[in-house]
Amino acid sequence: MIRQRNAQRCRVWLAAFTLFSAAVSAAPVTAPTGATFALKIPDLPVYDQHGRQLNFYSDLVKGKTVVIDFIFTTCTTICPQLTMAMRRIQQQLGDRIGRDVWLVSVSVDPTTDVPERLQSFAAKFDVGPAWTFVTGRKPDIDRLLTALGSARGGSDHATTILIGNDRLGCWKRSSGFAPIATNLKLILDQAGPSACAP
Amino acid sequence: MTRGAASLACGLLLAAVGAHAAGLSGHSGDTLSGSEQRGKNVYLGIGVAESGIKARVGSPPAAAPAVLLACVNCHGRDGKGKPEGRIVPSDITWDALTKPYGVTHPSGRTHPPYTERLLVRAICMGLDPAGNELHPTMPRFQMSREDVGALIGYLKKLTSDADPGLSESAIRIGTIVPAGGAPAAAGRTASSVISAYVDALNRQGGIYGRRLELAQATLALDAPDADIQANFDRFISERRPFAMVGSVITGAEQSIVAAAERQHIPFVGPLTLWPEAAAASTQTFYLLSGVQQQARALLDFEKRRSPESTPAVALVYSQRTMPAAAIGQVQDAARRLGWNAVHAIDLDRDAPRMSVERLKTEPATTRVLLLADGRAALEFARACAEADWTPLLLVPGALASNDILAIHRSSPSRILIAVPSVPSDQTNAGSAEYRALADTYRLPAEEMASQIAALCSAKVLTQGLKLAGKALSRSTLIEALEGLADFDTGLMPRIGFGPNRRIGAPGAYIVEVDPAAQRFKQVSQWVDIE
Repeated sequence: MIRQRNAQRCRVWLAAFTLFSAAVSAAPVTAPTGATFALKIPDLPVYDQHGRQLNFYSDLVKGKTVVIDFIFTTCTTICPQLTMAMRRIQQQLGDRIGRDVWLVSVSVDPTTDVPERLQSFAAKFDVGPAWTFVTGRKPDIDRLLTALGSARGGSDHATTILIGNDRLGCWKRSSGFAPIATNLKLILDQAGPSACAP
Repeated sequence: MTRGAASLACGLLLAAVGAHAAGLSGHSGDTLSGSEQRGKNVYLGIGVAESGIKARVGSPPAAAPAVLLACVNCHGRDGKGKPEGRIVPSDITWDALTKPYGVTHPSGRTHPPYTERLLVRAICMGLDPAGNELHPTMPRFQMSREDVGALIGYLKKLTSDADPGLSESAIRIGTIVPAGGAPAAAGRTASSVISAYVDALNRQGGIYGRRLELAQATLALDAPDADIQANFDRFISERRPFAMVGSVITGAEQSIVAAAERQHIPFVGPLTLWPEAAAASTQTFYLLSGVQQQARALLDFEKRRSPESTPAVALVYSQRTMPAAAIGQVQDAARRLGWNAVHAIDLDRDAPRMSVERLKTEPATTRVLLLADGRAALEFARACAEADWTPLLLVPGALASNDILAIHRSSPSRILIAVPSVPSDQTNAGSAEYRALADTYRLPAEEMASQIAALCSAKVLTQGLKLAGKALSRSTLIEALEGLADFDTGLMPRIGFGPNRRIGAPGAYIVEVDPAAQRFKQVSQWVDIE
């Protein structure tokens, strides 16, 4: 009871503080570049979190608008948070997920991240539909990461997310930790008809 | 609410929490007070849901599962921060937080030293002492004043806090002995080998000047899961073992491994047929393969020998032996290895004779992976013989026991068995060491498999403790074990682990039952299934 009351109090203060802390300097997260670019994505064999074999380009990217992030399941620091950010994107896009936008998380540690491991990682975050976690043979994933511009594997992987409209052939980069509204706008722009407008 | 009113309200909270936290700082010594232990649990993310701790994270902060955002995840066991992907979590050891001249971070952010009140503000509201917003990856926590006070109390102790069961002079190691039932004899024998090994090790000076102490839990493994967990938890909180080793936990794998995981206790070499039951474990290190890995080794071996490009195999199982999920995983593994038409027959549902008739009509099925033991397996073998059908039977050794020779008498089929170790794994030095131990400590001549497995567990744990060095902690032990490669116990295949490898020798040898000699004949080298 006491704990509940305290929690409630903390919530009120929290709300109040959010109001004025918004005025304080913004956190230094990498801003989205906004520049669009083309990506040649190889159609490599990969496995999803259910152990199904897929071809990365033709099954996950072709003709779609996709958001791609890079994770590994033994990472306890930023990967859970990136995944939470992706989950937020998924929730905010509602029924547009799986219709207009698809999500893909690529493991940068395919040797460790077998499908079962990806599945249990995904389950922790209650990931919804149209979100594929990807692993595969190390040489294939290495090639894929190089093609996606995220070649540095292991714990030094970037917090970058890629947002691409394959139908129109253009991609943008952002930070997974950028304000959610910024990333949502980028994603919706990319999913729209003027995705590749300068 | 105006900004002034908000500050005042928060000020009252901070004052209250500050007083609470200050009350804790008088404690000293190796053990933590009740409140500091509570703070440590908050830090490690233990019991977060029960405490009602909530978190908001991201930009702008939004509700997120606090259980996935424990302090330790980013700041590390030592509080110094684990940089990753260009995010550098702050050093939150008390000395670093309260440096009198403040802190300038690599990002250029600078602020005066923290006080307890300012730290509460940082934890709850994400502001540093200068009022700068903390990075969006630092969660904003919502927790009771008792919890935040306890957490701050613990942060003051972080640098000097040793893991439970660890002192300058001793390392306490826990074992489990089953209270009764079939595993009790194996469990007692395993435990006596470990006692002997530990005593011998202590006589040689222990590990870096620390003696090993044994703490024994007697648990009824056939009790309901909740009781096993409660009893194990009580053992952990009363005896405070630093790590667990080599215990027979058959039948209670899920409960015990889950409890060890939850309590962050390294567990080396639990003796179980189901190491896969805890595939995502971080704390638990199994030595040998279990049913699933042995099934895969059989499929791998047989596929390589098969002239067909997509040979067929029938999975014949009993759900009393194999959990449903495990059957699905074996089936998936078979498909990935290139097996086709993987028929699955449930012996609990289908009468053996009907199953055999059904399989016999499939012309391509000449191999059966038998995932059942005891009577179910025997009846199936008899039904094969009666139907004059002689498929090749593939049997994981973990399910074989003595039934296998009986099966052989009931069926003219050839039988291949996957075993995790063969006598030739034993080196002269390894055998001599065991014999010396057995002579000195009058070890019984029964339950040899359990004895060897328990001894190897103790040797692997000892090697991990040595590699972790004098500055031992549970996390350095886990790191050391993950770095273990090709470790030769002298009694089983070489053991190695890795970040995603929790089975020391993931594979098996294939042996065939030799009906003439009534013994096993080795027909393969080591089949690695990684």
